[in-house]
Amino acid sequence: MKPTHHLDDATLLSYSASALPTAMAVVVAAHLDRCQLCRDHLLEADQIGGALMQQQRPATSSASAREAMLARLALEPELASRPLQPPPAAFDPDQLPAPLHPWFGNSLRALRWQRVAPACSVSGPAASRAPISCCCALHPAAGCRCIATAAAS
Amino acid sequence: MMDSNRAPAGVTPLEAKRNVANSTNNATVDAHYWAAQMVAVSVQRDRTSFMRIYDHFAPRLQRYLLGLGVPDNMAEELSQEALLRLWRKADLFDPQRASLSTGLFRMARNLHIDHLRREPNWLPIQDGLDWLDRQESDLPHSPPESLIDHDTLKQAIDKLPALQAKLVRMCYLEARTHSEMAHDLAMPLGSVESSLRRAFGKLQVSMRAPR
Repeated sequence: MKPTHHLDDATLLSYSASALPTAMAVVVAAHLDRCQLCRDHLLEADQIGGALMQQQRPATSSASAREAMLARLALEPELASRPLQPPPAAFDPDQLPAPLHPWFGNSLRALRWQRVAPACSVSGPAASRAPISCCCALHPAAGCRCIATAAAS
Repeated sequence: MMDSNRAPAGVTPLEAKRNVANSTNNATVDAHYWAAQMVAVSVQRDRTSFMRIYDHFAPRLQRYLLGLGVPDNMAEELSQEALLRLWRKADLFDPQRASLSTGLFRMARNLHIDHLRREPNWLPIQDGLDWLDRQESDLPHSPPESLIDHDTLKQAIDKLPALQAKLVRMCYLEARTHSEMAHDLAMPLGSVESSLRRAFGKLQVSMRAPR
């Protein structure tokens, strides 16, 4: 499954800058989990961040910082050879994007929906007080079934 | 630090377009230099090269984090942690895919987010994305980043219209949300967002330009 609509550039830029409110950041992360096109654009946005970071006036480190870094380096084990990348698992339409798991669990089918309007249903997260709304990459069929916390939950 | 008296400590130099360190006026050579240091780190596990990277980037990461409102000691801790991750993941670093400064920015940003969201529910998202980034892109155009274009990008940022440049900097260097920027600058939210879109579009053009 590939998303057919994509993240707004202004949203993507703010995600890259870690300047989105939590709920929105989770929505964006869920979309990125499924969307290579937006991941490519995120890398471009991160490049802007890298350039701005490199232009920063250097901060003054504490006197012991450099030695601390060397000490931590000395404790590092040799780099073990990395296992080959596992092939991506077959796509499971029931599997929610990983960034949603902490809020909604991992199964789309297990969500309990609440109809709020003829074209819109909502589902509250299993174990969270944090409000989140999400409709990215998750439209299971025609018609909008946005996932969101009911304001009252 | 050599130029620490140019601006009062703790103030993000939003207007300062030229606060580039004296020695790095040639970003192209620069990117190649850092990529070479990185090869020494990943292939030979060379600590001297690593400490060169540390000496240059850690204070800049720290300044970036301070700008986001991270307290002093935590900014130092997080920038060390970002560098340590670089050491651990050195073999995954692909200079054709991302420059060293972009990679370090990513790591610091993710560490910052993880730190902010010290909530039981927060799942660190980026480890997954790091891995996904190594998959082949579906896009017909070349990978968005290679060694050469940092120079062009920096120039393109400097050439943005003043308002767009200001918004991009407020976004990246102060982590201001769209509505906060709209409020601060007494602008409609829609104008903030369309200016950011236009700015990103221009910078993308500079990144994708044939070289």
